[in-house]
Amino acid sequence: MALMMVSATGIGCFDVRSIDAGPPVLDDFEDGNLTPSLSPFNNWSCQQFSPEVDLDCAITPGFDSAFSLSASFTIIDPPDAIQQHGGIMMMTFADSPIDLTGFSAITFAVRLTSATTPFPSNALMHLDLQCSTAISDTGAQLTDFSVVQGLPFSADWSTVSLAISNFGPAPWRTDHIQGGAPACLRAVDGFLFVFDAAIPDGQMGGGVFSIDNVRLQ
Amino acid sequence: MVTRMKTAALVLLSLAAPACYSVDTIDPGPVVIDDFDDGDFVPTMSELDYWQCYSFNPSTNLNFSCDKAPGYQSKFSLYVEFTLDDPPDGVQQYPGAGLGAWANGSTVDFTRYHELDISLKLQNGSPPLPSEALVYIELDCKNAPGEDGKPSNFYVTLSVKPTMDWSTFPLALSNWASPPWESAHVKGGIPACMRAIDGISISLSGQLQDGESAQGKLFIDGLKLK
Repeated sequence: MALMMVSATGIGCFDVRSIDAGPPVLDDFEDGNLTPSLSPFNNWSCQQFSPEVDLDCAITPGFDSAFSLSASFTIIDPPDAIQQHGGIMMMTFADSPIDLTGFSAITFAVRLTSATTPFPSNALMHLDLQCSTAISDTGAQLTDFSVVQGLPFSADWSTVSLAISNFGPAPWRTDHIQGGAPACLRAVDGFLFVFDAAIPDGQMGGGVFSIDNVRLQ
Repeated sequence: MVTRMKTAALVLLSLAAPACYSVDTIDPGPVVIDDFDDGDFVPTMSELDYWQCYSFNPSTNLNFSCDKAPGYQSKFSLYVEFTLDDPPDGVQQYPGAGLGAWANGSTVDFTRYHELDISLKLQNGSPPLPSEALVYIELDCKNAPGEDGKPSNFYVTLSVKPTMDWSTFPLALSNWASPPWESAHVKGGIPACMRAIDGISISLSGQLQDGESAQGKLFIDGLKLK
């Protein structure tokens, strides 16, 4: 009765302040599955390259959290006088692109442990933002085009923040995107966390690659 | 009196004339970095000191030299001639050689331009370079502050596939980026680097496999900004 009186006589006051939901989360893996939190990205997949082998992605204990994403790998570089630059990547792709130019950075936690000896000092980790609809400066469709940025890594968890303004085409690509890096950043449809283990010819190496708490800011 | 009449005329003109002004920007035309046609090793762009040649991976490789040569539809170009060796140790060293010019304290704002044009020619020696050989065009911003506030010899780079005959490459400046093998980054991103360019280098990376050797000669000409 008292409540009815209040609702009948009370002034209609509402708090219309917006609540900051925080930066968009691509995935923090806390739901324990391989489906990213950010639409329209599809399930995470893991793959070894040079040679190409599909790997199982695993949900593992996280960085100050319940879960992260990991993949175990072993790379054998055959003794043929050619360094294959084998490595591993963990990736998610979208059916339609998103525009990242309104964001300032991508932050995430990363860890790379070595199963045996440490990886060579020229081992390379980078985040690739794929834009599969990119057109070259000659008007042709580009294949597997990304803008990339290198990042430091260690055997312990570390948090990395990569400024969007530092992503650019990989320098080994001799085909160039029309509109430059901004054109790719406006149409991102893939996140690829890549590790080139730089295993010398004829040797082998392996480890576990983990990421957690991938956010856009 | 004459002055007073002139002033009066100006006032009348300013009162009577419609306020029409052309606000079109004037394109200053291409800015030449160097066309080498003066036959010296001093770039046309005054902020840059002089052209030098170099080797890398390792920088102790002394098998290189540079000089002027007939140009691409012009009097002179610049070349570097080199021998590259990748020692047989199971690891690709990516040896190379190049030509560069660096500023002596000053910087150039490249964000005023949208394109860098360069003409290139690669002449194979014996043994020849692999077909995968690349030319990197690097723009230095070595005094730009990093994300930690300290400069760290930053640069942005882009590659082209060299040809045996002269080719001109019109390269959009929006395609230059920091290489992923550099894990330190410029504060303010690629545009911050482009605002503070203090050197340019053109490097031939032989892309040799482990244990391979190669010889060649890289010619450059007609470097300009648009």
